[in-house]
Amino acid sequence: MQIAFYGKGGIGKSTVSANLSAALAESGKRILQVGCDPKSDSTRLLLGGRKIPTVLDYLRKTSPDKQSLEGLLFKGFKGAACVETGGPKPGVGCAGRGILSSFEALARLGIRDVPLDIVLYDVLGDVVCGGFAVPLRREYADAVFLVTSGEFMAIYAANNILRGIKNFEDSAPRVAGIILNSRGLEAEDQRILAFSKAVGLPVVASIPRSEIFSRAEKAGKTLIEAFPESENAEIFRELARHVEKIVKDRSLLYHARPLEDWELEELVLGRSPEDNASIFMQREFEKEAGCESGFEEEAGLEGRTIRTINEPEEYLCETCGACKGEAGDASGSGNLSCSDSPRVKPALGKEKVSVLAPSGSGPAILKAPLYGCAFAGAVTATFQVNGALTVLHGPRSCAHIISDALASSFLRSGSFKKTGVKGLEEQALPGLLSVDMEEEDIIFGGLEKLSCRMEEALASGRKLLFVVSTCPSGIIGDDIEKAVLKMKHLYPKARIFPIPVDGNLTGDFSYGFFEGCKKVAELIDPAVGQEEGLVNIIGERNFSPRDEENFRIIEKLLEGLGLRVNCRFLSRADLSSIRDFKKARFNLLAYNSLENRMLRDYLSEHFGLDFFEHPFPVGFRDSSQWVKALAKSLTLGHNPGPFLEAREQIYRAEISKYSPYLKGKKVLVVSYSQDIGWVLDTVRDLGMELVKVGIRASSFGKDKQLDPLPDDIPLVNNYTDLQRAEDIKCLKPDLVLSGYAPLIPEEDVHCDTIPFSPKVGFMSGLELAKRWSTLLRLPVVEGWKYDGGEEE
Amino acid sequence: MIFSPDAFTASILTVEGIKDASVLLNGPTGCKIYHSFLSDRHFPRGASHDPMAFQGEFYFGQLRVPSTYLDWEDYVEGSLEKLEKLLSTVAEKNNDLLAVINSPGASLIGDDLETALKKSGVSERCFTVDCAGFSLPAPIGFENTGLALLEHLDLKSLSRKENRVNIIGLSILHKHWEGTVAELKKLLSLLGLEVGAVLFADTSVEELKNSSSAACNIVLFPEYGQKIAEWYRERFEIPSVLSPMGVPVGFDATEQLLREVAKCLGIDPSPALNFVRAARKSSYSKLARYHSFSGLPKGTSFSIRAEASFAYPLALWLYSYLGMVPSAVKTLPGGSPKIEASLRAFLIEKGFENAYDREPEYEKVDIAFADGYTLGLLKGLGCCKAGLEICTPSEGYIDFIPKTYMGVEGTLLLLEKIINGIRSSL
Ligand code: SF4
Repeated sequence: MQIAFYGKGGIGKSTVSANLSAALAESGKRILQVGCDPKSDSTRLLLGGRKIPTVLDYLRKTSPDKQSLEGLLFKGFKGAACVETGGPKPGVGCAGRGILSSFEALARLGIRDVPLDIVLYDVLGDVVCGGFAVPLRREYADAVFLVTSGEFMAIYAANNILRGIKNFEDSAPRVAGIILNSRGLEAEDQRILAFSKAVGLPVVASIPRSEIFSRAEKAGKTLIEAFPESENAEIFRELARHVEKIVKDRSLLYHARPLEDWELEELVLGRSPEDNASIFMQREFEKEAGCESGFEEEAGLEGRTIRTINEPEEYLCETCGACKGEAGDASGSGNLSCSDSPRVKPALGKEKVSVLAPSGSGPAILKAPLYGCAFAGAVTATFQVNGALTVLHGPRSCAHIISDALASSFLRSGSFKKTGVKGLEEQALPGLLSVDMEEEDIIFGGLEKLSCRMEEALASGRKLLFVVSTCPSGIIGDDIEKAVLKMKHLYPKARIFPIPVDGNLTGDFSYGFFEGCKKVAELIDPAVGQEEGLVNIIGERNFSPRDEENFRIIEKLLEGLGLRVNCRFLSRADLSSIRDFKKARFNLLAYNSLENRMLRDYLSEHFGLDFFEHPFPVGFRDSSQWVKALAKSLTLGHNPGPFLEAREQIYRAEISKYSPYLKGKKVLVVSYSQDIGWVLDTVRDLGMELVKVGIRASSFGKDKQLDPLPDDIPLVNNYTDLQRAEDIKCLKPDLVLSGYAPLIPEEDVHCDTIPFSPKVGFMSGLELAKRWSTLLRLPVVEGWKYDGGEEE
Repeated sequence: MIFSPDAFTASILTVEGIKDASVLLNGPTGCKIYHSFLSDRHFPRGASHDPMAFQGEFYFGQLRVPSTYLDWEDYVEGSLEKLEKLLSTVAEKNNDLLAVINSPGASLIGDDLETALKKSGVSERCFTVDCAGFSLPAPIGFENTGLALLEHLDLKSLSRKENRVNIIGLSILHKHWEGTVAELKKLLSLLGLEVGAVLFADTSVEELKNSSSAACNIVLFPEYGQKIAEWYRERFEIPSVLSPMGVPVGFDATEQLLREVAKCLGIDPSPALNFVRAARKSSYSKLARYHSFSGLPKGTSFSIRAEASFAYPLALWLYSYLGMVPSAVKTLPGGSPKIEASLRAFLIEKGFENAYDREPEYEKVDIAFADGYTLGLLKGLGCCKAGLEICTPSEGYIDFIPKTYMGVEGTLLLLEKIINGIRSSL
């Protein structure tokens, strides 16, 4: 069972939850306490006063491949496991987002596989945004306790929390009751009683004000540990027994029935609706700020109490490392309260008890920047499914950016003729529908609007929807999976797939593309049997004008081997071809990129598929190898010999047309990537002399697994502009090939570019040969290039 | 049939439309890469595409719009550290006016950008746009950012230059903005006027600082410039001219705008009007010859998808000057309500009420006027025989001759394209 503790900031949730955890652990339950407060001191009392590294710190300092649950889980009193999510410093960032990210990481690292009886979430303050509401979601909290005192603002917060719960409540009740953490105020019990009656909840525990809390906290312990015989310890044991009853009997849970503000004021403050609300609120605020007697005492004692728990010099401010911060739940009066101190960390060497360091801790690792966003990647994948509609859950900016990126290739493909556009006025590119989240949706959550959009699409006859989330929707914590689930109930025949990549919060373009592909793969019918002579193509690119031409070339090559393409995963694929994906016996990788390899592994693992690893071949040599290897892999009994001979004849004949112009000419090649074997082959086939190949220092093409260039290639790595200039002077090449052509070439040498996106197949090099043969007869510098300088 | 840009994109391009100003995007590369490309495409500044030329930490191989490349951690922890680093990197490179614009995500975390500016010592020459708006129309982003920029520049009241005017409400997002500026300068010079600043297309910070000396502001796209013109009126009592017909598309609207400007400044419009008249005459003979054997363009149908202040004068002119049939006229979000109402009233009055607010892909027409992608789609679907790209996004055609659809030059270009479009589709 999972239990969340909510209540106004400083009300003592950490102390209550820690004591309850201790009581449950004492009774033999396997406990996990999750602190969801940026102060990250919720679990301190279970850990003998120690502070532990937070999930967010851990994620920041540990590279993804080294992350594990062990680095985050810490053993406390009676084996209770402890985790702190952490969060930003006060006033910056989004603490709510921090909670979201931590929970995602815990799930990713397998927290759900740890055998636990009860998980307790200690949540910071009120439900102030989607992030803070995460522990309220059904997958996290089965039961919610409201911790409150009898002060108006505390009850007000409790009522607000009930509103939050109501928003998340589908059908089953989830409120476990009210825990009164008494401040010892006048008529406090009556107020709470009136409130509990009005909202229909029991007061499951009433914790009187006592100085032993303070003494226990000073020792860094719970009452259960420090004063096991005390009356208050017994209250927590009783509460623990109540929790165990709830575990067995969910009928002890209640629906959230929050009051209207005026009802609450009337009830708790005993004022009529006509009264001036602001005066009352003002008074309450003043009281809580310590301006009235009841709180003055506490405020004055706050510093002292902190010192009693952890001497201030033990805690240094994270920002400057010098100024002292505050720590921990503390109360000068011995009551339960919590200071809203900035996040603090133990000073090195001052620890009385060593804190387990997370694996891989040390200097922060400089993260590689993310290229693009997972949102764009996921949409690029789902957009390739003909007839599907991708709902973009975010503001129009995101929809505009991705639709602009997809439009050109989409229009080139002409696939809209198949999908049709009638009746979908709100759609921009056919196949995309933007939720157009506005300010209001950002503040109050955008799920309602998302549902409306989905419903419109489904009502107009759409049967296949993908829903992809953007950064803003991720930051505010919109749970698109929940919205999709609801829609599925309304339209049981429709297939709707949420892809909660949350813009770039989960990763970059490649990651999103992979996530999108995974969702599309759920459309594959695993029961479909194989048919002879069919192959799938996996991982074509969808942005280059060459993509379609290259596919046609490959299709022709396959035809030569007696093969047909079953499904292009994912490029303008019909639903039927995806469904029948398993008809193909073999799957051909279009490109050997990281995301394609990930996709290959995923599809192999989930559908038991065989892959042909050799990517689309570029150039004669590569194409010959590709055809031979493919023929061999498929054991077709098909001899590719004649097919290859015919190709070779054409290639040689064509090359011989151009070699008279190029034979013996010296070539210098400068490239960002080593993926230029086909260019070098062409140079050699033409009888040209390769004087040097300089590879520049860059990350281009580094994700590809490339065969090393032959040993006899005069290769220089980390090649610089200076080296290039010197080589042009000394080696006197006739032609310099590089990624980008200089406007005014040095030393009167002919320059040309290496195609970024080459044509695939046997004849790739011929285009180059033809071009170079004429290029060398053209002026080295065309006239226009002299016109770009400053005026004399 | 493409999601039109919203306030966020317009906000970035407002600043990028200034010669010596740069946007620093506080946001992820997912937002950056597109806007860097877009800025460079609409207002090219470098000759090469070599990504190695812009390898600095925040540039990602692109010349424009460096960014803080935010990721989840920055959303949680705040982005200020990276932003301060970016600010000092960019500040060292040039003396541009700088604008930090938050991405939609960054605008949610509420980081205190002003403090970052102060810490980096660039407050003097940097302003911030905390939130350009969520799904707001492009004109709002343009106007709000423009106003923030003007406030930041703290313009001083200058002595009035009687022959100087500003053009307000032209974004580098607008199709053929360069040609439009050239055409307006030419026409206004016939009235003896010089253009001081163009807000905000290829203008300089210096021109903007001097813009308070103008005798009059000419509002081109009202939805992009009306509020800014109002700001000048309140601050510096500079009057503004606003064509009730929207932008000067067609001879009539061009004449009307010139008359309004002349009236505002108390000058004689005849030299400019004579120039328009001459153009009317020369096009008459060509239209007459074409019309005499074909009866066209009268009766040919058209559809439009554009900003209201463009769509209205265009539809009006196509109908009244060429006798063409409106089949579908769809305006982009954020149009001037007044012009929107005029467009509607005009179509109803002429008996074409069904054409109002109709998406072009629901009608088969002879000629369509829209952005490049919509035209591609309309052509692919067989919804138009010919098409004219009057707004962005562009299909990618590279113009060498500066073009415009406004003023005399623009009207002649429209005529040429329409007649030849119809001719080739017969
Ligand atoms: S999802 Fe995030 S990174 Fe991607 S376009 Fe939208 S705001 Fe930018």
